[in-house]
This record gives sequence, structure tokens and C-alpha cells, in this order.
Amino acid sequence: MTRTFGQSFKDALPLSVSYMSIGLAYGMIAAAAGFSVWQVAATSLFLYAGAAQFLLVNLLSQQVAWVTIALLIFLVNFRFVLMSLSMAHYFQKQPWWSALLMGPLVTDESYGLFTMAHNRGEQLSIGWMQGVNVWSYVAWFIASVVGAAFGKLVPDPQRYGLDFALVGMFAGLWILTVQGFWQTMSAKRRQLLTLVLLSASVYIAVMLLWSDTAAILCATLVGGVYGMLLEKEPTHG
Amino acid sequence: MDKFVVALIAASVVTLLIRLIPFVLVRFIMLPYRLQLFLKYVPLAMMTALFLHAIWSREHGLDLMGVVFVIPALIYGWWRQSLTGVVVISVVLMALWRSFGG
Repeated sequence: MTRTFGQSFKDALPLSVSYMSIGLAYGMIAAAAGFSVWQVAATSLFLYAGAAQFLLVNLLSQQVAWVTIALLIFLVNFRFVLMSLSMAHYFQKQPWWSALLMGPLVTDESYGLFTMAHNRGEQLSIGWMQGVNVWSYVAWFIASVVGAAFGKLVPDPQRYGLDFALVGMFAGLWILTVQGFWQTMSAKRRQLLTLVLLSASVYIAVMLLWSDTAAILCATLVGGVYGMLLEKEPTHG
Repeated sequence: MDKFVVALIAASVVTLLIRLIPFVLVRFIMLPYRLQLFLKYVPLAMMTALFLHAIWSREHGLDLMGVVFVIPALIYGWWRQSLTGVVVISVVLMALWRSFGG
């Protein structure tokens, strides 16, 4: 079955909901740190990367130099290279102007939705991906602006557990991605479990010893390489 | 130009390049077979890392209650294959906990 643009709004809803709650939190935090609504809007419009935006606001309020900020954000966002590579490969037949729209809107969550749907065996149209990306972008932008403008009005945002929506989102994307692999690669289930445990272990080890960003990258690289080696042709020497 | 604008431009350009270059690359280069195999498994590895990072990171520490609440949500997710369900269950459990328990 092919998922099309018409279905993208509904498919992107869980993402939009989670973006809205984190976007609100981001807006509120940035405003509390002294950034204006215009500034918050600009960060969501041009940077459009949650972790990087929180980092940017944090570093700027500590008067860190722009070169250092750019370098740290490069490191934090480097994982997008792998996500973009994956997506670009899948959608390689799209016209150049379509790629120009799709690329800049790559995020953890939209990538997660893409891989989850893809691994379930769905065919994804270019329009579907564009739709998912755009709805998410709009949700994030609106939420961050609203959070910045009206955040002070909400007394105790933590009570509603909305910040936990992001964890829920990643949990859901993970379990459904696992399920997709589980169902489509039934002959390799034990190796799939090994891959997950391997990536998990590498993540934890590198995170404890080094940094979060390095941990995500290492865990991804090790897991990916393990999977690649699994499929080595038996005739190879 | 004020510091905010400079930092934002630098950060945005860097991020844009990271996101776009692979799309440009793929138009001109045929990805080697090994790389395609690697990319096939990247989602599983990456989502594992991203999920763990949401629960346990240097930046935020280990969210023990988060781990507890995420488990029923995961079970529901596997059973019903619903992303929204996982998110809603997680949020509701955490909200109840924070309002009445924690």
C-alpha cells in the first residue's frame, strides 16, 4: 500500500502533538531566558532542530562565542547526515526542487516516522514525506511562538506530563521500528535483538564515558555496521 | 550584527548543510552496496540510541519513573501498533504520577 500526501496530515498527528508540547516548553524556556517572541520564531523557522535550539538558547545566555556555538551545534546535529542519507536514498527519484524542500526539514521524529512506516512494508510517496515534514514544521513553529508569548500564563506546566510526550514519541517510534524489522526479517530475529542490545550497550557506555552526542553516533554506527556485516556474502574470503 | 543573529545564522547554515548535502550527494553518486546495507540497519540502531537518549542522558540523567511508565506504553504499542497510543499513555501516566504521586 502506498501512503500519499492525503494521509500525511493524519499520519503526522502523533508527531505534531509531541512537537507541540516540546515546542511550547522550548518557547517558554527561551522566553524565560530573555529571548523575544521574534527571536524564538526565528530560531524555529531557520534552525528547526529541538535539541540544537535548546542548546543555542542555553549557550547564548552564557555569552558563548558564535564559532563555538556553531561547532557544538554541528556536532549535536551531525546525526542528521545519516538520516538524510537514508531518506535521500529512498526518495532518490525526486526532482531537485523536491529534494531542496525535503532535506532541510529532516528531524529525529520525522525520520522515525519514515523508518517506521517504511519498515512495515509501506510504500511512501514523496508527497507523503513532504506533507509529514511540513505539518510537523508548522506545529513546531506555532507551538514555540505560543510558548514564548503566553508561557508565563501557565503556572505549573510539568503537571500535565506534556514534556514526557517526547519520550513517549521516541518509545513508540522505537517499538514500532523494531516490530517492522521483526516482522519483515523473521529469519534474522536473533540478530536483530543482538543489534538492539549492541547499540543500547554502546550508547550507554559512550554516554557515561564521553558525551550524549558521541553516544548516539557511536551506537548508530556500531549497530549499522553490525547489521551490514550480517549480510556479507558467504562467498567472501 | 547582534550576537543572536550571528549565532543563529551560523547554526542554521551548518545544520542546513548537514541535512541537504546527502540529498545532493545521492543525485551524483551511486551509493556503494556496503553502504546501502549499512543504511538498511541504521534506523534500528539510530532509534534505539534516540529512545535511550530520551530516557537516560548526561544532560538529563536517568528518568527512573520515565522508564517505569514507558513500559506499559511500549507493550500497548507492540500490541496495537499505535504511535499515538504510546504517546498518550506515556503522558497520561506521567501526569497522574506528578499530580498525585511524585
